[in-house]
Amino acid sequence: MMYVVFIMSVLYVVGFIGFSSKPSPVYGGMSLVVSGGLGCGIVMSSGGSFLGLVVFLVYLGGMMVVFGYTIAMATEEYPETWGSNVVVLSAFLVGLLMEVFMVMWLFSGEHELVGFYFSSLEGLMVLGEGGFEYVREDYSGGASLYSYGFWFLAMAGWMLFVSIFIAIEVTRKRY
Amino acid sequence: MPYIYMNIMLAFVISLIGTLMYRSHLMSSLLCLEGMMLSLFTLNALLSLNMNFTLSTTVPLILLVFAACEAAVGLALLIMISNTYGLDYVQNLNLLQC
Repeated sequence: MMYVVFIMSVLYVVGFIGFSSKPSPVYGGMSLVVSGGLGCGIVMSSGGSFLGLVVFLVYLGGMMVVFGYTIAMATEEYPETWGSNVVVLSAFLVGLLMEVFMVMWLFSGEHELVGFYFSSLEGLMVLGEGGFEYVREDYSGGASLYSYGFWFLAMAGWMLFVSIFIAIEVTRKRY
Repeated sequence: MPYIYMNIMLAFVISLIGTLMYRSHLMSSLLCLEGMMLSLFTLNALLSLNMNFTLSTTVPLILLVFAACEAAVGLALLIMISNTYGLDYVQNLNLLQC
C-alpha cells in the first residue's frame, strides 16, 4: 500500500501513452479522462483535495465535455482503436516498453518516493507564537488569488472574457 | 530525484511528442496539447504541496484558466476546419503549397 501513489503515476503515464499513440479521438478522449482521474488521485494523496476537485470539475467536467461533443461532431464512421491498426498498437507498445524500462531503472537505484512525506495532521500545523494553528495549503492558495494575486485574477478574468469574443469571431461564416 | 516527478515529466514529454507527430486527425493533436496542460498542472500542484510553497498553489489554478482559453480557441479553429472540409483531416490543409 506504500507504493499506491507510484502505481497511480505509472498508470497515469500509461494513459498518456494511450492517447499519444493517436487512435481515433474518441478513444484518445477516453484515455485523457482516465489520466485526469489518476492525476487527481496523485494530487490528493499529497494533501491537495481542493486542487484535485478543481481537476475533476474544471478540467474533466468543463474542458473534456466540450472536447467530447466536438469530437462527436467531427468524427468518422469507423473509428480506429488501439487494436485495429498496427501503427497505433506498435506506438503504444513502444511507449509501454519504455515506461517498464524506466520503472526497472528507478527501482534498481536509491530514490525517494515523493519528496517529503508528512503525515496528514503534522503537515498542516503552523507554529505560531501563542500555540498551534491549522493551515490548509491548497485552499489558502485559492484564497490568495483574490488578495495577493489580484492581478492574476484580473488578467485571467479578462482573458476568459476576450476568448469568448475570439471564438465568436473565428466561427463567423464568411458568405 | 523522486519517482513521481520523473513519471509526470515523462508524461509531459510523451504528450509533447504526440503533439508534434501528426497522424490523420487534427483533434488528436489538440488532445495531446490538453495532456501537456494536465501534466503541467499535476507537476505544479505536487511541487507546491510537497515543498510547502503555500502561495504558489495559485499557479496550477492560473495555468488551468489559460489552458481553458487555449482549448477554446483551438476548438473554434477545428470547428471552422470541420465546417469547410467535412472532417478534420490534416491532409485537407493544403492551400499553402510552398
